[in-house]
Amino acid sequence: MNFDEFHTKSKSGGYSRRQINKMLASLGIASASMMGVSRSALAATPSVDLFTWAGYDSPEMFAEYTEKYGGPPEITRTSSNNEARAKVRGGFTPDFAVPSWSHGAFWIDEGLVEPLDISRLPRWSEMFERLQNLEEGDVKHFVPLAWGNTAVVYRTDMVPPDLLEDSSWGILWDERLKGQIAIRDAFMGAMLPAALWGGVGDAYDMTDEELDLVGDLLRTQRDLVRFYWKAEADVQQAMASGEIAVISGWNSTYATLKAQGVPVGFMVPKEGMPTWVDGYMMIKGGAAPEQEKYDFLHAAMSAEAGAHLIEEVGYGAANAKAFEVADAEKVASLGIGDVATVVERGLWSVAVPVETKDKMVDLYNRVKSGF
Amino acid sequence: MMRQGKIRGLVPVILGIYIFILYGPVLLLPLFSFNDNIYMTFPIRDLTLKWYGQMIEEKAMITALWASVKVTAAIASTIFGFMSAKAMVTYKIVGKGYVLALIMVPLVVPSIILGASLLSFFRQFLDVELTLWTVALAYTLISTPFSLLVIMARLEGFDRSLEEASADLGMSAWQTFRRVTLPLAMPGVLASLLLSFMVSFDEFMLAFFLSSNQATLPVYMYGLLRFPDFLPAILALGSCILVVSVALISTAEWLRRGQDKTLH
Amino acid sequence: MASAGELINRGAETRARPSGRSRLWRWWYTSESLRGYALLAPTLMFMVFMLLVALTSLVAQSFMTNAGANAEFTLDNYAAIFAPNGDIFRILLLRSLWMSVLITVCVVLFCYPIAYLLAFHVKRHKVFWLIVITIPFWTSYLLRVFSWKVILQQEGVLNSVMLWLGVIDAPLNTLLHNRSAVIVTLTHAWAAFAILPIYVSLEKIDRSWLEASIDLGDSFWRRFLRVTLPLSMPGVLGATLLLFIRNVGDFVTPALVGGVSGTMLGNIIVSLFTDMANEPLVAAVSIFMMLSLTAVACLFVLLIGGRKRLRGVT
Repeated sequence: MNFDEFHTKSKSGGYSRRQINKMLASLGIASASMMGVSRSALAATPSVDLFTWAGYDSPEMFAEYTEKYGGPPEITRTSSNNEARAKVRGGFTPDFAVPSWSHGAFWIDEGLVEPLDISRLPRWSEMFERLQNLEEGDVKHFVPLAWGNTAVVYRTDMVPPDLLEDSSWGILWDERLKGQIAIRDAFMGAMLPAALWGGVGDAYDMTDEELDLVGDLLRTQRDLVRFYWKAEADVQQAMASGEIAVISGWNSTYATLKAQGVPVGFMVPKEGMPTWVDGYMMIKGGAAPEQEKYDFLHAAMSAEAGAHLIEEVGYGAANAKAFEVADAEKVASLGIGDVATVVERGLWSVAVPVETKDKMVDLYNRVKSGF
Repeated sequence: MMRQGKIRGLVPVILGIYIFILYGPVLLLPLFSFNDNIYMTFPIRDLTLKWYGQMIEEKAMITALWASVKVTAAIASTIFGFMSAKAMVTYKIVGKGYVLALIMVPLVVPSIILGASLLSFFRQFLDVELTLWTVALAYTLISTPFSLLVIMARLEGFDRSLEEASADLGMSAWQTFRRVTLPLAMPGVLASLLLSFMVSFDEFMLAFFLSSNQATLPVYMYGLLRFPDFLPAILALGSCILVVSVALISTAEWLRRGQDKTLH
Repeated sequence: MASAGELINRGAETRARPSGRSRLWRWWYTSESLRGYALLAPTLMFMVFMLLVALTSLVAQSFMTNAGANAEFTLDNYAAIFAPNGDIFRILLLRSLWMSVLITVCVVLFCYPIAYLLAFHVKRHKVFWLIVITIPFWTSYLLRVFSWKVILQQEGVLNSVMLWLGVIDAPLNTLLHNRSAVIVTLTHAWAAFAILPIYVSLEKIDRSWLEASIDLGDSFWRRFLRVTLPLSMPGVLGATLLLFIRNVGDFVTPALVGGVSGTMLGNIIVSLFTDMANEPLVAAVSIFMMLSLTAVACLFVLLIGGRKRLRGVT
């Protein structure tokens, strides 16, 4: 019998007092005799259901939870923010999901997540201050976990140095690199660089005129683009084979290519560097006990988990301590310079208002289909 | 007759060319699975076995592969397809066109829409948990049209008098089925099993929406596209599937041939 | 003059119609339709069970405004498809239909010869070869698409071979990320799905018909066109239907190798579904696609079936 059944049954009066007393007595004897045994043998079975990305599912990401509860959480994987939300909306109820903050507002608006009690998360203050205040207001739903910069990743042996002097997103529109550019096949990922280079007011809340400008920029770019990519594996391969010279990519793109010996560079554009954040959100209707859920969050917010992200996955960690704990060389390989400055001044992605978002999706689909 | 002779001589050549074209792209998988590089690019660097080592250790991948095998709805859809094909071919049914159209509907619905709708149906309407059973039901749904069409191709114009002769000779319905109908339909049944297997093995969208912590292989692989480091291990797995399947079939055929020989 | 078969049939019917039973029972026993439906019942019930709720809610949703709990009836979603702004849907639908037709034709043309060889010219181990032909398709679809990328890309296999043979001077960069790449990749991906039905049909052909045709002095081509091809139509038709319908909605291959010119309607539907918050519009676009697809498929069946009837072959 597992903890859940016991919990439910005892609550509904399924056990008589005598039976409970007997159980408590046997538990007392058991714990007395188990003094020398490891903690994991005593603990109940884990019951947290985690809906996360591949890469965030290694044991190091929640090591303390595994130790305390005798096993890792049940993991279901996703490879897309939108498909994950569609699945939860359709009735899938894990305990936690790990969306990006740019989508977080949609999860909240659609009533899919629970508000969190920050006072039960002692590691909250270990995070970068900028990230602690990412979600405006006093009620928090989102616990930042990992972040990454979107900047220009380029082949050092294929791009003329003078193109890089300007440190601008405009490099993705340069005629000399025609046919060697790859753009991210996602409406935000394609439109943000265009918006920034076009000099719009707020890239996350554009007016109709600004959208028209972005549309035109994307159409001009389309003739120079070799292809639009959906998967990291896809574009990294193209870059490694020399088919592509310049893309908008993440720190992990740069770090992975470099580790494989491909000559690449990471350029931070002056117009701004969009930075995404992934984090945990507690789903309504999740079946695990509340304390266990908070224990999980506590384990997930540890500096060690963050260090694992930096070293093995190539993402930045939300926990500031993680940068001190991690291997300094690996931190440097992310291509960020001074982490604190980047965090302070980064263009943290937020949710776009729904009407604007729909217009952006429509515009992007049209451009991508050749219209 | 001269023409026949000429064709017969060319048969192995043409067969060989076709096999080459069909297997060609897939042969790149073993090629790059030995390459000491996470990207599938030329030139080939040093040869290594480490991806195979990684593949064996990656328990989640092996579990996903096993889940994929378990969940193929080949038998269920072949049974449904056989019964429907037999009915449509043997009897003059009123509204045959509409029945055919209904059975083909699962193919027409875009898979993402079908996945999301079935998810709502299972979770919100029926309130059942998502397991490999929910995936298997969906796979039966989309494989049945394939089974139906391929068995119909076999049974079309089926000579009913054969069955009725066997009934007249005193065999029960089940015996008639087993000794007359089934053997005649066997190529269609075999084709149906193969088709259903292939359809389910590769299907991603429905499996994503309708499974929870037991991922099937395509779901597992799509999840890893964000991390190219794992690509070669998947290549290794694909190569293994290829080699093991060919070996299995060849062995089965060799055994069968041996059996045939002993019978003579 | 009745044939032996007909006599047996008639005898069976007489024996099977006992007197003294109720008319209802007799009607049940001899009604073909009912017996057919009895055999069809399990399949139909399963289909209805799975699809009823899913499809009715989809249709209902397409007629609602995008207002959640306060949704009202509206035709706006369908109007949006036919509005000037909805040209992306209409054009992509046509593009997807056309590409699917091309792919289906390519696959059938490619697969017919091998199915024919297997059915007529391979004497032993037919089953073995049949299965061996399908084995490449047991490896993942995704991996196969990646393999095609490696073949068609600028530094890929095809370019390297052509350079080495001296057919071209510089690597072509027009092989990948366009419509033809999608067509080639999908043709290869569905080959086994066409070989099997066509083989099944061809294998069934009574050899005595072919021998009769030879005895009558027909050449190979006349024999093929008058006997083999018409009799293999059920298999060809089945393969065509399956392939055509499935290919229209594909989104994986266009996303990976299609580039801009190869984008298909499936990509838009996936994008609308996941990116936009407008579920009624997605429902309407999906239904629009489903209806168009069904119409074209029916048209095709009528065309092929009609021609069969004209030729006088059952």
